[in-house]
Amino acid sequence: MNAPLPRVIIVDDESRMRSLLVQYLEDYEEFRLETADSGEAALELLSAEPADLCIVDIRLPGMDGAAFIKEARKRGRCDRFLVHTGSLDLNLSEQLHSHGLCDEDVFYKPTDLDALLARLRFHLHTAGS
Amino acid sequence: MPPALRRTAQTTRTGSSAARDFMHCVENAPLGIFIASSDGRLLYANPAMAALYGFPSPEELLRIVTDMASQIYVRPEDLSRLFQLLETSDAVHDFESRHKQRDGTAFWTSQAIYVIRDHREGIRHFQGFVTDISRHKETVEALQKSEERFSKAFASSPAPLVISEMTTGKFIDVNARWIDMLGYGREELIGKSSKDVGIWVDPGERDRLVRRLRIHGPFKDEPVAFKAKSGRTVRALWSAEAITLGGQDVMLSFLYDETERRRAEELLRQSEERFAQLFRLSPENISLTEVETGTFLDVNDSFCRSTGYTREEVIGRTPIELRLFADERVFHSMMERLDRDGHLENFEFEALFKDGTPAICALSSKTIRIDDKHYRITIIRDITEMKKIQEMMIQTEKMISVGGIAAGIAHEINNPLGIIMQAAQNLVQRTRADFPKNLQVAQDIGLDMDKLARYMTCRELDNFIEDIQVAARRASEIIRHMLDFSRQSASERAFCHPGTLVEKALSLARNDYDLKKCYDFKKVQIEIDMEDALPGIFCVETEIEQVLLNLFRNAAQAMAGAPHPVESPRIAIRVGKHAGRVRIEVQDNGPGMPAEVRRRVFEPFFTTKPPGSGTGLGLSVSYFIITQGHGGSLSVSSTPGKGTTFIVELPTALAREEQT
Repeated sequence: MNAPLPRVIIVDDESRMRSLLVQYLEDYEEFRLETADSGEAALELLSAEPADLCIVDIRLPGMDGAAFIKEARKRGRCDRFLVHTGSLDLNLSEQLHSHGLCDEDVFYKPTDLDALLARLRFHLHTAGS
Repeated sequence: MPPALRRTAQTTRTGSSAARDFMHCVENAPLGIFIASSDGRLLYANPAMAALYGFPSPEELLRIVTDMASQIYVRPEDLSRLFQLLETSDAVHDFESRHKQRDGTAFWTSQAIYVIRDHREGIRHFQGFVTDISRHKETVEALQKSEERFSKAFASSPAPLVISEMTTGKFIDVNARWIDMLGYGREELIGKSSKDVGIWVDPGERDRLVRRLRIHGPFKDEPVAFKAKSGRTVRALWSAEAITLGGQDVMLSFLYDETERRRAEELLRQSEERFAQLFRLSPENISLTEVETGTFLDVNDSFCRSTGYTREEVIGRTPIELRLFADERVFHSMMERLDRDGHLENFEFEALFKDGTPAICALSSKTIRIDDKHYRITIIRDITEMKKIQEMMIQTEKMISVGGIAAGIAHEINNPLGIIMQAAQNLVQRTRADFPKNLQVAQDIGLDMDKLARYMTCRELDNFIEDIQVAARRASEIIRHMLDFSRQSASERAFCHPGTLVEKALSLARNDYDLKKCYDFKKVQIEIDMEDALPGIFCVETEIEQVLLNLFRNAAQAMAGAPHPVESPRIAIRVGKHAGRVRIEVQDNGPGMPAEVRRRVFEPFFTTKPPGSGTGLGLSVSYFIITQGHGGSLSVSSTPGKGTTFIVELPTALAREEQT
């Protein structure tokens, strides 16, 4: 093992969704995967160790996904995010743009995980270079 | 005393035969004759005198009447008055006073008294002649009373009266009302002729009527015009007759001042005209019907405008004869309610107008009584447009709430859908024979991955997984589609020409794979009627194309799916300007749709297509694209058996700019 694998945190309140994502991504052996069922729990993980990227659901108990992204970025514990959401709120994309995300970073459930994986790799490779 | 009598009296005493004749004459005279002494005592009375006072004989009279003042005179002072007169004059004629008979009955007398003087002694005696003038007196009194009555009636008559000389027209008398009528003072009139005073608007009028009076006698109610002193024209009805007054031919005229009546009539006429205008020109559709027969007595302009009938066509006919009610039973149930309650408010019914157009109307009616006859006054309002707007509002409301609910449930459904999708994807990934991690695990447990792959194919497990993924994707598509109408379009707006949009949508329809499966769009005759110089619209091109494609597709499917296939299917597309908007009409000659379908056609998930061939979202999404996304309107009209027309209206690019 040379450099440690990039740390990716999956934030979703649905446990099966968290598991399925982990099970899909872990097969590639490219990431250190961790999960949190809320924004607050994820922030705790981040305070222990910064992450390279978070995959965030928007509708969460407690603070919502957007607020989490904002907070994590503010604390300097993570600056790359993918949004993975079931909701289709009208002004979602605008709100996310203001948090530094572009439309390509937003995945609507049910989504094609291959596309999500590609985006994930894109971010982490960009970060690495 | 006449000399003849004096001579005769002297002769009497001489006892000659002439004296006897004279005595006989006195004794049989038909008037009372008497001689009284200078102190008023009766010395002689003839039989007529005795009879006058109710005595059987002159002797009896002379014996009983000892004091004339109290026994003859009703008022003794009359005798004193007589004596006074006789002091200054030797003869008093026509002295009238009331005397009484023996039984007290009073009567009027007229006396002539002559003083007989003696040169030495002065008054020797009186000779008197008495006549009973009671009857004459009564006549005169009656005449006086009658004259008084007439005079009073004349003066106080509420009608203007005038007495004038027939020939000259000179005023003899006018009453107070006459003076009031023309405003002249009495002194300005009496003794002058009516022409001199100038009361005639046309003096010839008087001459004509006087001539007529002379020839044909009295006339009545002839209309004449006078000039009042103020110059005002006074119209009156003149009645007159000729009478003789003091031996003179005069004319008694009675006038009826028409000014007041005419003024009242004029006011009434004006009021009637006002009300007639109110009725005729009212923007409300008003009709008057007879209760017994139900026939129209009158209708106003608005009624004619809205129904298309002329007044002549309507008056005298009933609503049933005119087929104003689409359903006759509705008319009868309305009449029942009206008969029972006497009034009706906002009764809704479907009306048929002259050209056959149906309209939804609200009818209000009230029974009124004019001169013991019953009438119905009815106001009918065409509320078709209002109903449409109402339906549209309900529709919009429904859609917005559906949009809101959809956004809420989308999240809930998308999460489990995500799990299904991800699980399926994981299944695929973890059964791949070329994935290092899989190979590693397989090797650990001694599984031949190639055999697993073959097994999966043989037992069609791969197909099952594929089915799960396709179904999940389809479900997700529906959810996404459903949310399209609550999601703001992120796509770019551009300036488009309506004609280009129509052409593009048509070419999409011609190549539409789904449509080809059941219907060949090329068989449909397409008619395009496009106005010149259409303004552009600012829109998301693909969305408007999607809407139009949807309309074309629906039209083609409706015509293909009709129970009796349409022989020459046709879609007429009209593009034009309408009230500052671009209006695109898509009309088919398909089977049309009943009202209950028409009302729900924009509702999400409402479909008349067989299960599986339509989501029931096409029109509701179109509706949202046009109304919410582009500030336009989408409406439909349809007649079963004739076809359906969808109307898209979009603000022009210019209008949109002005709005923002």
